[in-house]
Amino acid sequence: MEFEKIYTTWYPKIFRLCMGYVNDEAQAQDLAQETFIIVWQKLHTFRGEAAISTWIYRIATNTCLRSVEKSKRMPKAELPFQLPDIPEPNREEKIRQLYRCIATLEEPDRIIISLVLEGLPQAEIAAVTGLSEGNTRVKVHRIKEKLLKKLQAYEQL
Amino acid sequence: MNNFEDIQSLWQQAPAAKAPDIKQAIVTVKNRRRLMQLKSFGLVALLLFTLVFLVLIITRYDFKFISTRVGIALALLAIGAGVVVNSNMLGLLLKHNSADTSNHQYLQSLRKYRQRARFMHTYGISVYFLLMGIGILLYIYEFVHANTFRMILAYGLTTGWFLFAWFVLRPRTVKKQTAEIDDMISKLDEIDAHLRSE
Repeated sequence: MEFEKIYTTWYPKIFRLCMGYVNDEAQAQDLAQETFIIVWQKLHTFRGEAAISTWIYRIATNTCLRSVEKSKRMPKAELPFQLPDIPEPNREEKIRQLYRCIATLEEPDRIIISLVLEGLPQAEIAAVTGLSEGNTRVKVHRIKEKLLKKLQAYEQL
Repeated sequence: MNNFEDIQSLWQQAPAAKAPDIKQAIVTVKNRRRLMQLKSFGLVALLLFTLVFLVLIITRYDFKFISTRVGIALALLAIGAGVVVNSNMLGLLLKHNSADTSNHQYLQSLRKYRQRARFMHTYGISVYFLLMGIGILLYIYEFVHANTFRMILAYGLTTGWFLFAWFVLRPRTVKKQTAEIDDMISKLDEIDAHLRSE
């Protein structure tokens, strides 16, 4: 598969995943760039034994996890007590809220939920994270609930 | 937002920042790779130069005692080992593969690498000081052995420096490096434990 095609197809997905992890546009761009540099370097080793999505997501999530070594650990965000009084937040604001809520989760949970939101099947999420399918199912269920509660609490603030 | 489907559709509508120009990204990679190659080339050149220098000194100068030559060899060995340990050379040997490993395996490999680094720094620094200390003690013997006063002075000073380095500098350096590495290992452990928790 051509790198250029992979890049244009996958960049938005990988960027969103990185945004879910760091909730910071500049850092997310750096992480996405880092991911595609590795993809470019390793593409010749990809033999199609796993799905290309599993392969790329593994690189992206491992790159996110490795950022713990390069800088400070990506801190868990805190939800603000008081929010500006916006009657009906527009879509962009809602997306910002979503990223903010994801950023309050633990690092592995941010990765798992971002993969879920990208629509990755649970078997593939298990392959990316290295968890059993059973454990993945339980975790996905819990994180979904947690995120939904956080978002609802955020909306009620 | 009342259900997860709403969240998912919102997520998928999130605009991605404009993908940076692919050509620019590839140029960045190539530059970075060239820089890495230059760095390792420089390192190899430095080690070769050291080796040639060592051979020249040992063969060209007419040292009377074998202890002088052994001393030089040990000191240079210490410097060479120091360069290797402090450079990225070991990092290159212990490369992680982020493409074919799951998050759990990857975190484990990062941890293993940190543990090795800790071992290298803790024991490497002791070996460095030992080689350097013994090397210098052997080296100066030829030049001071004829005069007892000079010998006492030179050995007194060298031993004093060595003891200071061993009992003050070494523990301080080891403590600092170990604390940093331990901190990193505990962070990696924490993330991995959370990942695997049920």
